[in-house]
Amino acid sequence: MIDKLKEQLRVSSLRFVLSLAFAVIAVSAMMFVGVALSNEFNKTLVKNTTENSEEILEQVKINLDNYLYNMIDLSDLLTIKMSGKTDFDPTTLDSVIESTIGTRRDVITIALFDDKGYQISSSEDKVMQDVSVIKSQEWFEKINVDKHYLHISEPHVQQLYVSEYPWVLSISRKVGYRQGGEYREGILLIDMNFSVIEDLLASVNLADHGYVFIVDETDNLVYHTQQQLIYAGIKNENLEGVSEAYNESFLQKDEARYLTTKVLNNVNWKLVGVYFVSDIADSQESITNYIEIVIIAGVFIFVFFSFFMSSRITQPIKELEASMEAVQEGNFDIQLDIDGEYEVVQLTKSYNVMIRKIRNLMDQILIEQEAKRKSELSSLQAQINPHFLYNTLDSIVWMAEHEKHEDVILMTSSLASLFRISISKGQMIIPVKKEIDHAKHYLTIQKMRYKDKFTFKFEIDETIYDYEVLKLILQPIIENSIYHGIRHMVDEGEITIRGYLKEDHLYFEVEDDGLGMSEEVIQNVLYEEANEQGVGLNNVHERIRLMYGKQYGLEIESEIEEGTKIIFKLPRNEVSS
Amino acid sequence: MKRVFIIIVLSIVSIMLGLLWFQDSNLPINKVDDKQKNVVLITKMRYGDYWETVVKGAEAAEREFGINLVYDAPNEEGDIDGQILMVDSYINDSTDSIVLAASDYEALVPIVEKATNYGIRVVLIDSHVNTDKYYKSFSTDNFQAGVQVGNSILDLVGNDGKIGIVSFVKGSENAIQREKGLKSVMHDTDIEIIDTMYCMSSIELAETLAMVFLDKEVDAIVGLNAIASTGVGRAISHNDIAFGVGFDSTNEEVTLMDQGFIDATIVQNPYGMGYLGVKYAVVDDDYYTEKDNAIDTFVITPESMFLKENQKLVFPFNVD
Repeated sequence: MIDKLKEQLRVSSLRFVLSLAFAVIAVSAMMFVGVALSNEFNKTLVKNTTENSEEILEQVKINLDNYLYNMIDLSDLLTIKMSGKTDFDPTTLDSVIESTIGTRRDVITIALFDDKGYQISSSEDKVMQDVSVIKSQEWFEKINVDKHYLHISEPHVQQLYVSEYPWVLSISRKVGYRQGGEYREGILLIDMNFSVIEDLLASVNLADHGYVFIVDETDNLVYHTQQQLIYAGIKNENLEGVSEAYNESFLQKDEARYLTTKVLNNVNWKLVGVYFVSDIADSQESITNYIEIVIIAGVFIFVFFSFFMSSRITQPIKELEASMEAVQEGNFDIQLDIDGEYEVVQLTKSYNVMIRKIRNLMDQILIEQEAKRKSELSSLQAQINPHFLYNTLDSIVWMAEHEKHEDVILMTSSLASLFRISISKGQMIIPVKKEIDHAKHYLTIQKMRYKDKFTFKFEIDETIYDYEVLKLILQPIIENSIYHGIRHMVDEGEITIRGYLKEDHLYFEVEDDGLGMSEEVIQNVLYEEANEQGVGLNNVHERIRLMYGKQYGLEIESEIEEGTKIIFKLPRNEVSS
Repeated sequence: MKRVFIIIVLSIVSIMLGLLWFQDSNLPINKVDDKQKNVVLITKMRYGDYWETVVKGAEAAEREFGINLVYDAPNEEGDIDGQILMVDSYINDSTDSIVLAASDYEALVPIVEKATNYGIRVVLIDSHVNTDKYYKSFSTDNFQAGVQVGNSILDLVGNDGKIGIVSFVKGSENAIQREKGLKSVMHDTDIEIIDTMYCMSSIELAETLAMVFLDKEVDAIVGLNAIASTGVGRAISHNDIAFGVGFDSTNEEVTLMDQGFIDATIVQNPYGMGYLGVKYAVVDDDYYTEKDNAIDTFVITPESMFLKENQKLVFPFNVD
């Protein structure tokens, strides 16, 4: 697992390079887009907030304008009603007033006063304040004393009736009417419930914490959502820049806030909206956060994706690499699946062709080697026959000369059996049984030739008879024992042949109790070429190794005056039927 | 190749879905950033102009600072145990701050300390509690208000005369401070305070007590809170032989003042206290860096009550 990871992270690997490249491109692209978006968003945000606030304020302004306009309209209507040619009848006005008050929640009071401050007609049947109080009020004075045609008061506490102090906006105007045939001038008062306007203004929400206020032409606060706090000195309203601004937005740097002004139509007031930079910054921050989250998520997805893509691309190459490794270890039987991307397909095809060619070459080399080996083997094998045959035939001639008929018969039949096995229909591999028989026939012949100079015995584990073995390996060794060990002995010698299985290998031993060999002689017999006395240990050793490989062959244990033991190590091959 | 194509399409779809998901969860962009603070406002009493104005101020701060405000109060003033239980019920993890107008100077001490120890910011308004385990306090400087009453009496009566005091409940810390302030002014004059009587938060009793003072031919009667002042004003309206000086500006008090039966009143700023209490429940020191802050009181006379700058103080909101 860790190895796998290590491999994936190997810096020089194509996969890693590809992943990194993909990831870097993706991340930088996202960063670029993110920063660009964020900048653009932030710019638009400030613009939008300003526009939004202006729009909201425009709506408020329209509402206020409409509101005041309706009031003025109402006062116009009443004025027209009163200015008839005939005497003014307060009761007709009363009915108009009553119906208006009944349908309009925002109108609290409609009342007509003469120029002395006495009430002529009113919507309410309540105890009036003293005339002096009425006369001293702004809405009355503006018309009566300052001779204004129409006056719209600031929001104020009205003192019209005893024990009632509503917050109102008063519209007062001069009206003409006839009474007793005389033209008179009076003052019409319409009080609007200020809470209606207050609710409207208080509900304005500019960018979270923004609010509105109203100033008059001299920048006095007419209305403020937190008027109490301002008059009590708990809060201050910074009016810097307001007097110069008409229907526009500007930044108050000191307060870190934007102001938007709207001039009202019917009255000389300015509606001011306040919204804070910090609110915009909050939104900016959350947009930035949002973009950050998206980028991080995007990066994760793309990194994952790029890992996936790069492994998709490098996978066939990796497969190729893995199969090449198998080839390195000597396996040329692999043919890769031709699948995947075009380039990889081409590469795989070429590679397959190459492997096939190499394999063919290898096969060819193997066949050639085999042929060479066979020819070598047969040439080695061919060396055996002439010497022995020559000597044996000499003996037969000698025995025949001395008329030893029985011996001639035994030797000749043994020689015949020997050759039958030697030839073995041209096979190189024969069953162990036959090889043993071959050795027996040979020993029988030699024993006769050397006139009982030695005895021999076989100690063979019979289970090995079912195995097969390279033919004519025992005979040259026995020959060696006779020539080097027994022949020059004074006493009678003994040769023991053993055959057994050990550790999954087939072993033979040829042991004599002859003269033994010096180290020098051992070296000689191992490497000497076949001579007239025999084919030599070297021949057998080479043949075994040619046939079965380098781990097999002969081993010599010998001591001077004690004897020699030659051990064969052979593979355990069952007879193939 | 087909598999790769499918996987690419799936990835793109999942990215899109991811983006949509993020967008959805972020839609109310302005609201997600800061956790809304939960502030509990507990006053002495649920009803009455004074406390309703406190709540108006608190609501102004609620809007301004984006707070989640909960208002609670006992139905009657003087329900000390009820208020303690009420405070206790809000001491939990979801409460960030408690703004408290304590009913009693001593009785609320343990519960205020408990709230502070729990990690809740306690802001005291209107009245103090005998502990220092609170964040800030905003209250009327009652001694100073008493001094204002005294100066008003000197303006009305002169340096010589007799006055009577109608207080509200014996042992009330606010009343004691106001009386002390008043007496500190009277100290150097020849004005004699003939008695202090307690109306037990009853206008009728206050009126009766004021009548008793009138019978004793006092030059001025002082009502130490809105109820006492109303009683004093009513008594004088029956027999206008003395000056009336009072506290606060209920509708009836304003009417009595408009008619000249109350000659001066000390207007507190409950709106400001409610506003500041809730503001500093969530805002750290800025303008008001002191732990204890006195909120100015204003002397209002019949002549000044309708001045533009006083209207909002005397008539804090519209009575429909």
